[in-house]
Amino acid sequence: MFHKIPIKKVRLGLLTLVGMLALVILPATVIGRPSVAPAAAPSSVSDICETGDTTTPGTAVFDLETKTGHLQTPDGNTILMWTYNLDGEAFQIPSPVLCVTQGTTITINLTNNLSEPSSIIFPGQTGVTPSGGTAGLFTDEAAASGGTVSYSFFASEPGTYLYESGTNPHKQVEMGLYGALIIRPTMGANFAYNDATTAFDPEREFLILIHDMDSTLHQAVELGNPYDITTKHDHYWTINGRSFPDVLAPNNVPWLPNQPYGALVWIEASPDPDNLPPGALIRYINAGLENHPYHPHGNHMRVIGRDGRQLSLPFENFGTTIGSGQTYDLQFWWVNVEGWFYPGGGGPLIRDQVTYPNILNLVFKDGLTWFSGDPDLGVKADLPVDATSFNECGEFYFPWHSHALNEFQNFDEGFGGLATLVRVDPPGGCNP
Amino acid sequence: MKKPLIPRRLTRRDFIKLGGSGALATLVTGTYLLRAGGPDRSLAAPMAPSSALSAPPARPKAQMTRLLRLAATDGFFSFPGRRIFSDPDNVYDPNVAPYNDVDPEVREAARREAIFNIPDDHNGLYGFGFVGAAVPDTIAEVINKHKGRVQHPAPIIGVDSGDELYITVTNLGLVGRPDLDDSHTVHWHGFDNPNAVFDGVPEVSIAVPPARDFAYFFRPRREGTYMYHCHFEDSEHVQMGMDGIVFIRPDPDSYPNHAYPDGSTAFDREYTLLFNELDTTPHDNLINVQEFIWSDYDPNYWVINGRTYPDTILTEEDIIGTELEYRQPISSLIQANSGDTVLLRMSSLGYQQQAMQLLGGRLTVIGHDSNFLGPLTYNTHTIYIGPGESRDALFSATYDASLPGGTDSDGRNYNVYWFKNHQPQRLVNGSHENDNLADPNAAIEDIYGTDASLGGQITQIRVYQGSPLDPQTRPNETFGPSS
Repeated sequence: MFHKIPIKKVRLGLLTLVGMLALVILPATVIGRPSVAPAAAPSSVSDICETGDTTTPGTAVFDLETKTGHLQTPDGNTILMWTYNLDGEAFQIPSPVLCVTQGTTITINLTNNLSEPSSIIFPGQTGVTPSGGTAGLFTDEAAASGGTVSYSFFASEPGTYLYESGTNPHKQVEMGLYGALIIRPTMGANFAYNDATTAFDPEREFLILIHDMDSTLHQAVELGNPYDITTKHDHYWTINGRSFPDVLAPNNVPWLPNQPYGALVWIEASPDPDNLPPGALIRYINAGLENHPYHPHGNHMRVIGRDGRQLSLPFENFGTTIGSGQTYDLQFWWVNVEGWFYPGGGGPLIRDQVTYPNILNLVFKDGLTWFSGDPDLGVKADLPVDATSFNECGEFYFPWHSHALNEFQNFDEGFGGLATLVRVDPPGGCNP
Repeated sequence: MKKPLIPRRLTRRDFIKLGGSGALATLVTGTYLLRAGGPDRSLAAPMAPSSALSAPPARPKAQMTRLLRLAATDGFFSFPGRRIFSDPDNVYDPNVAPYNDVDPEVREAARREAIFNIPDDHNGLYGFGFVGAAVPDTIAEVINKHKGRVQHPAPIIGVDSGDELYITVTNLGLVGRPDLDDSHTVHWHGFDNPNAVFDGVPEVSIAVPPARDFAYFFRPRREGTYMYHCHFEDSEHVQMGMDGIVFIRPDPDSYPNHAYPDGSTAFDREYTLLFNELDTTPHDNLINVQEFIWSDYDPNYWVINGRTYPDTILTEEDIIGTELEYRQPISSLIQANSGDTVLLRMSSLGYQQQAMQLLGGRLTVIGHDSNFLGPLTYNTHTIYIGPGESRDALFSATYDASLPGGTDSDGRNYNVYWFKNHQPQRLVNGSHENDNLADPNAAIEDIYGTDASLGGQITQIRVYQGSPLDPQTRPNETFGPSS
């Protein structure tokens, strides 16, 4: 039944220590440029948007082709994937993030290199017009081995959307033919909808694009064996094409050549809860074949949109069961509900307000931690000598993860799979 | 097929004669760590600092500091098909010495000794959990009293908004697996945490190793229903049983017996329901020193408050002298006097989504994830709840002799409203939903046959004729027998 001998441990699956240190050392050292102040936040959606060919006003044209390649998991596995890619570009998982503005006519030209027909469907869009393909069940298709098809539709409604294969979806969506489509409102790129209350900080716009995989099914495709979706039993989960903890590395790390997008949610604490600036916008997309209950630690989330439409009344929650194929738009701030210390903020230190225990008798799991050693935001303190910390300047980390805890795994290694972290910097960041 | 667990007959009169309130008091320790209002509000002095703590600073009188302690340990649980004693209904006779001793401490010590003195060849289900422990005790004393004597769910914690809470977590180690040095934490699920160190995620803060403790601090603010659970290797520890419900009440001076600071959320009785599933395979693997691949999770029991039907409808009185006492002490039977408004605080820490259906009545959902819905309040008959989510709902009905129900041995007439998982494949005990894993006990029985084959996530709301039930002094408190 299982194609892999499980690693005999249930400990933290942190095989990417090098990658974690790269996160701390920061881009200047990795890229080799002269030392510069690190970016305020990585992996905002605007850093990874593909806007297509917008030469003709009011239109955006994307040329995509299907390609095959491999995804790397943190426990050392590789999984064959099929994705859409911009013509001529290197293979990547997930497919490109397409970003357009409301009021644009979108055209997508698909060239299909797979050995079976393929297509694209656009859940949530209306009036999608295919041309140049062959008739398929849900939409027109591009024939195998070089066939083509085009799709055209008018992006009338802002929101977060999924695009995915409409051909043999039980195989092609499982294999990776999915991607994010973001339509920005005419009000401006820093709003989720045409409503001032949906404003967000454009440097804090984060995509949580979820997928689930049964590696034995991908192996069946790779070996040409029979493919039976009714046996789907997932062992790997990804956000933006990576499993935890690879999600924490920046975009375009050289050691994940086919998985260019990180999924670290990186914000600054909001010092004044009564005077909140535009916060982070989180775009959830469940491109997986299963529903996933996604739970953020730290603060409540404020749900403002669902399946590409603004909610007439936003609501808050601490867990969203995202149905297969659904999307949500959420706002997030991190506020210190106790008004405790920020460096230079003049608030009370935690040690003066509550009984803070002696941590020398306590454990840092596997000797690795994101903890700063000190309970206050923006303060670092000594840790026991055998503990390695990834903490930069006393920031807080909280996990955001599936609460179907069998999905919080990379196969058999815990603290993996369908998860990321939110990093909360002190106001002004670590290098103000 | 195992008959439903029916206790030796113990009438309420007998019970009071034996000093029954003492026995119930022991259940209070197991089920609920804080009373609503009442004498506990006088608790202001912090405990004597141990070597691990520095003295807390002085507090203004308006704030109440509450000190609690949770001990993390292991032990065995009881389910239909997985019983511990050969006579699970009669582990001891509460009417004979020393179980009926006049001294409540002698009584309780004898009863706990009997319950936790399990035979070597038993068939119980191994698990982990949190139990309530005494704040002033040393670690050695806590180990002596509680190690290996686990309960599930963890004690219900109910606090008032604005209080200050120190919850000391003490790791007692594992009796069943002395080779494991697992640490534990407590994650306050859904809380707006003021920092990471009290959030309980070991990889981004700290964890508590065996024979150590750690005092978590939080000040409850946002009213509503939450949950708490261990976050150390949580795929394993949550499934093994280290989870419970915690809730925050609005200011009791302004909104006594309300779910939220809004007049529409008043209630007469309050019940917490923790939904979970069990996959017996990892529990059996763990006690047999075997690994388990957690992404192979495949549950075969579905539980409410740590019990499956027919255990779900047993009252606190029913389980005295049975193997559920101390082990799975929180009832999931919902009792109401005719016309009472009942608050159901529901949380889910399983890994599956559940659709819980009420038959014969309707629920008014007033809260999602500790958010008062206000104008978004809705009326439904099915609660669809995912892992890590919570729901608050109100129910009310008057007794109607023409509706289905029964009469118990105390002569109380009641109507029955079934509250059940709508998926019938989850109303069985000990079967597998899909047949990928070979299991000799996997035959799915005909659940529409007799009562004896019904199991899983199903319980009852019983609306009694008149007002035979006393007011509750704590959540989930039940009165009298179930049959």
